[in-house]
Amino acid sequence: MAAEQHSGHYALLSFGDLRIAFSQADVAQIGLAIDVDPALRDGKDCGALVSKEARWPVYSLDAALAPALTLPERRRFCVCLRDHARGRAFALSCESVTALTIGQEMTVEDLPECMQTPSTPLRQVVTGDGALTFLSSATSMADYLAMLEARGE
Amino acid sequence: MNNALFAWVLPCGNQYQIAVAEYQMVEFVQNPACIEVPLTPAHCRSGLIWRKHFAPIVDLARLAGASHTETMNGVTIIAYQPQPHAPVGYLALRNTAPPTRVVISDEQACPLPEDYPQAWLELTLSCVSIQGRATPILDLSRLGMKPRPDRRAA
Repeated sequence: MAAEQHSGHYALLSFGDLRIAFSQADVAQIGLAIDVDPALRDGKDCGALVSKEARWPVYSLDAALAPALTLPERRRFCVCLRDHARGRAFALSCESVTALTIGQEMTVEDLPECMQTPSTPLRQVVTGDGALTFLSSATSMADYLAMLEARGE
Repeated sequence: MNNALFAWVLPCGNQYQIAVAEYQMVEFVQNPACIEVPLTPAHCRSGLIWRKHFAPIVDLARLAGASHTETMNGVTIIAYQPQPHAPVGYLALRNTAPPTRVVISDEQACPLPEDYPQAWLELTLSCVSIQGRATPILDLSRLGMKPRPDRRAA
């Protein structure tokens, strides 16, 4: 179990008890769920946020990372993420979004091998602030959402 | 008694038990706070924060094919080395009762029982008879490895 020296600034999203952080470099903007237009629903998203720069399909994932087709009331925020590598843009609804700075007092490790499956967008785990946080990336999450769309789930 | 060694016997539920070498067992944690991890294999659905590390909880009875497992009493934190020169890794093995310390020796070596779980075969190093029960010794580094496609249940 290789504990890494890791530092950086992340956006920490909560989905019920599940906490996933993305590098702030992946975050384009943060919107409000009340601005999501459900009429723009397409596939497994539950609508879209539209800004001058882009259209952001909004996905609502539960704590098991299963998609919902409507936005639960508790989901007040939509974090717009950009996969710079492949030019994909999407948003995730969440209950809260806060800044997370990974400092020396925290431990960052790869998701244990025995928990890794081809579909998971969770790459690493962070401990040290009393809770468990998973690290993902816009690319990994976009791949996962694309897989859900392809499987029709 | 030739080559007598101390070992720990871990009750894994559904009549399954395994033995681990004394040096591999780090700690028994009773009633741990389990954290669910989505999209994980069926035998490895949760983990716990242990000494600032995240340790996956492995349910060996579930891996053996049990659809319903007995209530967890605690987990045994096991240290293993994934490969030579690699940092130590930790697994939390799900137990239905606290481990017991035993002495085992070469004379206790025994064949695997006929109804031995297929999924454990590739993990098994040897088997010893402890109080009349065939008790396998598993390769814990393989248990910590990425699951084979037929063991995935995301």
